[in-house]
Amino acid sequence: MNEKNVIGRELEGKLHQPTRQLAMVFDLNKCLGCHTCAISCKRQWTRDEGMEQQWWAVVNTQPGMGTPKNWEHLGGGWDAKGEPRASKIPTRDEFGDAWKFNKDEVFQGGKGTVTYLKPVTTKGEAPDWGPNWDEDEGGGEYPNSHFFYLPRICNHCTHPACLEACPRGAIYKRADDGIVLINDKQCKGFRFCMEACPYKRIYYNHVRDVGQKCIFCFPRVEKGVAPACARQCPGRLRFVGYLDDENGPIHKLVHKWKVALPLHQEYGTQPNVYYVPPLAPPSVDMHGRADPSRPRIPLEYLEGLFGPRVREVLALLEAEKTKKARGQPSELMDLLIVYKWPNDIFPDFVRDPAEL
Amino acid sequence: MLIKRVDVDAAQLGDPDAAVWSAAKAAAVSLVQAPAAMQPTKYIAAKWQDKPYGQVKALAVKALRNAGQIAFRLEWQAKTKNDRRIENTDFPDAVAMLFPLSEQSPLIMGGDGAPVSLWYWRADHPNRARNDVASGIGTSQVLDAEAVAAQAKHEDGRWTVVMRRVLRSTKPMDGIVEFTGGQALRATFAVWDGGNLERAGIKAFSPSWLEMNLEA
Ligand code: SF4
Ligand code: SF4
Repeated sequence: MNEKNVIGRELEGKLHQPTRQLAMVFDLNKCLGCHTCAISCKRQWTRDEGMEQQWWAVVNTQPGMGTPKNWEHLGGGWDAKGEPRASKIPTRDEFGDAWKFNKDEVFQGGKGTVTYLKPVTTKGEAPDWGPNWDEDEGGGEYPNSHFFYLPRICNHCTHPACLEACPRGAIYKRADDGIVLINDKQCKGFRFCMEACPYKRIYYNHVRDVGQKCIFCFPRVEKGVAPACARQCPGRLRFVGYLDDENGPIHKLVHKWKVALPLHQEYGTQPNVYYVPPLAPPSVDMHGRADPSRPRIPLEYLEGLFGPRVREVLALLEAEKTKKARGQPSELMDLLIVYKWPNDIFPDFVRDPAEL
Repeated sequence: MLIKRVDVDAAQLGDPDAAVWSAAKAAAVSLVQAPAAMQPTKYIAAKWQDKPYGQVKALAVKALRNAGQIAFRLEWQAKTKNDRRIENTDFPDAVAMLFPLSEQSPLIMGGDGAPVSLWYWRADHPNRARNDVASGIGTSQVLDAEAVAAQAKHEDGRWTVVMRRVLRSTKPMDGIVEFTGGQALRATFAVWDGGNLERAGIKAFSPSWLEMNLEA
């Protein structure tokens, strides 16, 4: 094990932390589900052979099975006592493979009238799942059906389960910004990290025999350019910055206004991606009468994702929204609106990548 | 065990079915499960503590040399053949030999200042073995060393793998093993059952050295 990489490890009861931590806040009230984030990441990082099925940034419809399928029920992370929870390696099928299509057969092979264009997986099978198989299905019964979008990346956790699971010390957390990276020269493709990560955000590259995941666009960040997913997001909801920067939006949303919450905090890895939970219109009955005491997205469901503070946060968002609508000042609403892009959303990373 | 000198060419020496091997005597090396407590991370120990692994009990080891090369023929029971690595849960079957590079090298992956050299064969690359050097658990590094040729077959629920290399490497470097006629040498062994998702320290290994003498 490379004992030099102590950051992110708990040694003798002490969790070693980086000097600063980069973080993101996603305002779920603004996500369009357009997947521009996912595509911009794919174009930038995962175009090589062996990476076809990799989506370091995904956008899941909630309620839903997610990516990989059923990931919230696979285990991993730490239990209440801080011991690792056993898990399993998510399969290509569960992630949703990169399908190939029988284009030659249909378009060139003269079989256009007897067969049709159909997808096959890497294993040559007909797929019964994909990375967004249950998109826009959501939950609830008419007239209270509901869904919202949940963009997900690696959380660059403060206590990364992936890092501690690796027998080779191939995963490290950077001292200056807390970005979690896999050193692929040290990685031998053992895939314990894929099991241990409770968010299931690590993919296996079977061509290079290594694990791969979101790198927080570190080569961009080092040059003052925001991560691709954040820069390209048309909803302008992906805030980026240092958690300790009191003047930045991250600190204000997470620590000052306390409206940005970690996803599945109970997994114990202390994720550094935070979510502003989604407000919902009131439930209605069959006659269309609204019941403002019951939001259409059930509170219990949101609490299952973002913890016990959801009610309080939604109430605060509602109150500040009302203030703003009345023409009164609201720092929180101004923050979330992002009047001046890119300065208001990732102030330290405003450089245009086209200038590089 | 005496590693006899035989007058055959490299192709025969490397062929697990060659007649020269039937005449060679086999050493029965017993294997045990690498203990869960010895696993380098808490996750691995927690995951595997109650699961069976490292169940391959024995390895039949034969070794021969000719004028310029040495070869080891390893045979063990493996009911299924796992040589694919496409699905995330695919782990190919594997076998490794470990040679000490110093008198004090511990037989489990070596130690600080007492490295070991590993020849690691895996079923997804059946025709070559990898050269690794290690100075402790989790430290193994792949070396860009002289190739170790391999030839393997899976038949009747058994793997047979022959690994073969020149006695004196034409590409000498730190961390590889060299052989001289007349010398004594020793090795330990490990086997991974890929079908049981075995990899890294989740394996069966031989807990004592196999002592050998290389005929001059
Ligand atoms: S989200 Fe998973 S892969 Fe990313 S740092 Fe946390 S445990 Fe590791
Ligand atoms: S690019 Fe922005 S708006 Fe579009 S899916 Fe991603 S996070 Fe949502």
